[in-house]
Amino acid sequence: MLVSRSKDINLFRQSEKVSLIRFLVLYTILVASLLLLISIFYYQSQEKLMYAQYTKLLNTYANSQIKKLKNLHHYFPQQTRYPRSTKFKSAIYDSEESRIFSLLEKEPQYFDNKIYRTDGKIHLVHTLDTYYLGAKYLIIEVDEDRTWLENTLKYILILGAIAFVILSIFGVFFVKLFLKPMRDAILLLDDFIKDTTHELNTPISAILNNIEMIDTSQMSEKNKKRLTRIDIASKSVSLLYQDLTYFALGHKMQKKDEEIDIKALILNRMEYFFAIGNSKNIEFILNLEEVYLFIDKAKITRVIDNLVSNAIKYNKRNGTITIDLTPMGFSVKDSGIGIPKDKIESMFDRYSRFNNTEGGFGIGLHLVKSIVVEYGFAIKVQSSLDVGTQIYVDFRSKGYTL
Amino acid sequence: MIKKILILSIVLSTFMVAKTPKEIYEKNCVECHATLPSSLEKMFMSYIKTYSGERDTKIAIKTFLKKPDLDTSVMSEVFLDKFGVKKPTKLNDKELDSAIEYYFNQYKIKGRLN
Repeated sequence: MLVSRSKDINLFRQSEKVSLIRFLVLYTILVASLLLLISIFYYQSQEKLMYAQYTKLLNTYANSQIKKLKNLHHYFPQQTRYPRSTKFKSAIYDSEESRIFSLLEKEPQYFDNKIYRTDGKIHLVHTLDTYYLGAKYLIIEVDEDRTWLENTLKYILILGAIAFVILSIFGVFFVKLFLKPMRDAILLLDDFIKDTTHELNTPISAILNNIEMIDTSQMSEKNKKRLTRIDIASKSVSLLYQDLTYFALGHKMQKKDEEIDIKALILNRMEYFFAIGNSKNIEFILNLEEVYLFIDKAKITRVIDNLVSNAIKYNKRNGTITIDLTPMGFSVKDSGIGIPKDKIESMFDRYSRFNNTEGGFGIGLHLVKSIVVEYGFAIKVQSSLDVGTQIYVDFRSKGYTL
Repeated sequence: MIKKILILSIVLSTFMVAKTPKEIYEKNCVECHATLPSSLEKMFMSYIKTYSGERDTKIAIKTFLKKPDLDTSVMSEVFLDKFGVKKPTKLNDKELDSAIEYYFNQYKIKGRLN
């Protein structure tokens, strides 16, 4: 397989996307909270300003009204007409907050608040020093001019939106800045895997080819055994190499679907696995029917290789491996250690290895699953501890069976 | 003899028959104040100008009537210099309360402005 060394890796891998979204959500919440806080402060300051302006005006009204009340107090009860004004409405309340006389449209709500808003009206509560007509509180009421509120809300919306956009641009810039080291690390790792994979290709091929070419007739039994071990070890490395190639460069490989004789392919691969199986003295039982699938050969090979090599890897010494192939599907059953029930669901995750006694990267089953999903097949796992595991690939799901 | 019995019965009836607040007020307040230049209504206005609320005003009037004092009087110094401070009331608490109630209702501002 040719290995490309190009660096155009999809930078927005799943994990990076997730971190990006998390960061952006957090950043957006923070920015929104900050803008909300600033808006609240701005609103409050504008409200204070409005109150200050009204307080000044209404105090003038209150003072003129007090003079009139003083006058009325003096001439009461000869004069009983409460003083009125076109500019404001007013009311007087005694120290027990009981109404003496009122022209207000809205009932006063507070007597301890100097100035407040109520239903479109502004109320100023003025406490009298001398209680003319028994009045302790003089309340001045005017209509509220709402332009300040409209202007404030308009400013908050416009400036808030502009600030949000600017801060969002900053956010994207920061994300890129912060993700750069992570992206560099991914690039480095990808490059490393690609380079290593590339460099592994030639020596592995050389070892395997040369082992085949060695003339064993002249060899002692001891050396023959050693050579077999070297052969098995090299084949294991070769399998790992193929997984790595697929894993690192799978997305760059063109899918090449063709009609494949699955039985022939399995038999072909089994030659390779018999040698590995023999080292554990494993018996293979093959029940293979003629099945043709329209599929990418490299991909279905990865599925078969991984399922069979796992069955060997996790099998007991002197165990058995049963491989069934029918037009319905393909299954590999071992007599190995089995998989705990709670681990079955996660066994297809990348880098998931439920048992550390055996070597591996934990990418094999992840590859199997991604290929099976790609072709719309179903995959089922049945496992009993210390009895064995059966993994079944169902071809029927999307009618790829020919 | 008949004259004596008549006088006795009048005196007894005065003590035995409960008086109305109006009677207490008119007998014990209006009579004396009629001789003063400042009307009871003006005095009421002075009270509410100082104490505002109904409860506070009534308490102030009662306190002053039971123990009149220059410092607690609401009247001007000129008035007090000329007429002095009144003598403590001889009315009991119940009679005093009813008289003050009557007085307050007579002159209160609430309901009289238009």
